[in-house]
Amino acid sequence: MSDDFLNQARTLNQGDTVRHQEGIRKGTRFNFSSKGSSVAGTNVEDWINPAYLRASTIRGARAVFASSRPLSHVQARNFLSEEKADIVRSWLNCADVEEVNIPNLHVYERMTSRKALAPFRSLKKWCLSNQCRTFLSLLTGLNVKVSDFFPIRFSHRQYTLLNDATNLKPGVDVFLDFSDDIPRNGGGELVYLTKTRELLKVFPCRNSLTIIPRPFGVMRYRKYVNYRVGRKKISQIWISGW
Amino acid sequence: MMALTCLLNFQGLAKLRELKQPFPHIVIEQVLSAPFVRALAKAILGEPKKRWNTDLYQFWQTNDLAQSNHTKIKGFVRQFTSIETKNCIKKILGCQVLGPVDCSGFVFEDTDYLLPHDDQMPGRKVAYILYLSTSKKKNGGALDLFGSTPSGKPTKVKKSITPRAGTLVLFPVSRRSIHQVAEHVGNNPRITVGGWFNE
Repeated sequence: MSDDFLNQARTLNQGDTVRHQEGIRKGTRFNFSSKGSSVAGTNVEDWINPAYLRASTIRGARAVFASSRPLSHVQARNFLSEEKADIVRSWLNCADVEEVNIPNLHVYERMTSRKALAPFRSLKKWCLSNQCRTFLSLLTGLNVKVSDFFPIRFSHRQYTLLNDATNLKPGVDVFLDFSDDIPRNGGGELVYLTKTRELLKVFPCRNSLTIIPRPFGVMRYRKYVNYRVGRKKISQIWISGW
Repeated sequence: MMALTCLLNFQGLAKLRELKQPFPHIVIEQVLSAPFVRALAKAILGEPKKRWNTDLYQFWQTNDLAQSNHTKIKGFVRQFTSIETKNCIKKILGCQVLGPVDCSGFVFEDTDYLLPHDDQMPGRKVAYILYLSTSKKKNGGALDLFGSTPSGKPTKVKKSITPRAGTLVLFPVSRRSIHQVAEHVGNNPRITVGGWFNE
């Protein structure tokens, strides 16, 4: 682990304690507890799979992130505890949604009303917390600014398009995935590309956390969701980059 | 093959429907004889094709049919891109199209599609689609025509044209000519010849 990363991670922690050592010694467990925090559900242990609190897991994920080419990315599977993942999925499936339909730009469903977002309050609190931000930084070595909480859904006949009028600014895409089991040939994958070549395809993956830095010149679209998905849905919560 | 110019002389007029909504377009049925349609469809399927798979579309496309060595295709292209056809289009649609004619074969397989767009590119004056296969409604693949706001933003599908072999659809290209090919479903391919008459 480079000194730069260690320094970067340390400066992110404002009020939280993260115990780590150079090289993350084997067996180290991270303690993300906030001193004085009294809000239920805002500790990382309340949400994520305990395996991701182990140094070996984080070390492995960071190695994957660092070595993936041509676009760095990591998709942490079985990310939330099974119980929490099922709860969030049921919220997403039952939520009131509104369709965003601009046919030559994008078609998808989103939840913006207070009523629709109410069940997600504790998850949102954790996603926007410094703990989460620190955790993402440990996974990637990046200073990931989490400022969104954007639940979206894609079903049959929905998509996004590359469009000259909406150039995405460089950033880091971070999203939690609660999709149904979508067949590989059902469409709905995220495609990352430049003007000259395709870089990466990210398929829906239930109960995963995906992190993809998107540098200047890298664009993104959601492939048209075709009839093979039936009534299944791609449900994601974007916390950065949407 | 029945030449496009012949249609204006007799029964073609009865089969020619000029429609204005949601944007001006022409639908001409039985523009080719059934045997010729079948032969042309078979020829298109035999042509080398490129697979396109992007955000906007997914389908097979042949090279420019003017380069084809197939007898049936050569005969069709010669007649379809002739000055007589261009004069005919000017009479029907009021558009001067004396420039080159883009002409490719398209094959849509299961889940293939072409999402909403207006075809606007420099030089393109009149778009056309000649259907060489017939689809049932359940198989999708319809040509969907969108309504639009005065500023050209698409609203929703106002009309769907289900593919019927031998039918020719023409429309002037403008910011209002927003259309898509709905997802094709099923194992029987949707086969067309399409492109643009240029100014």
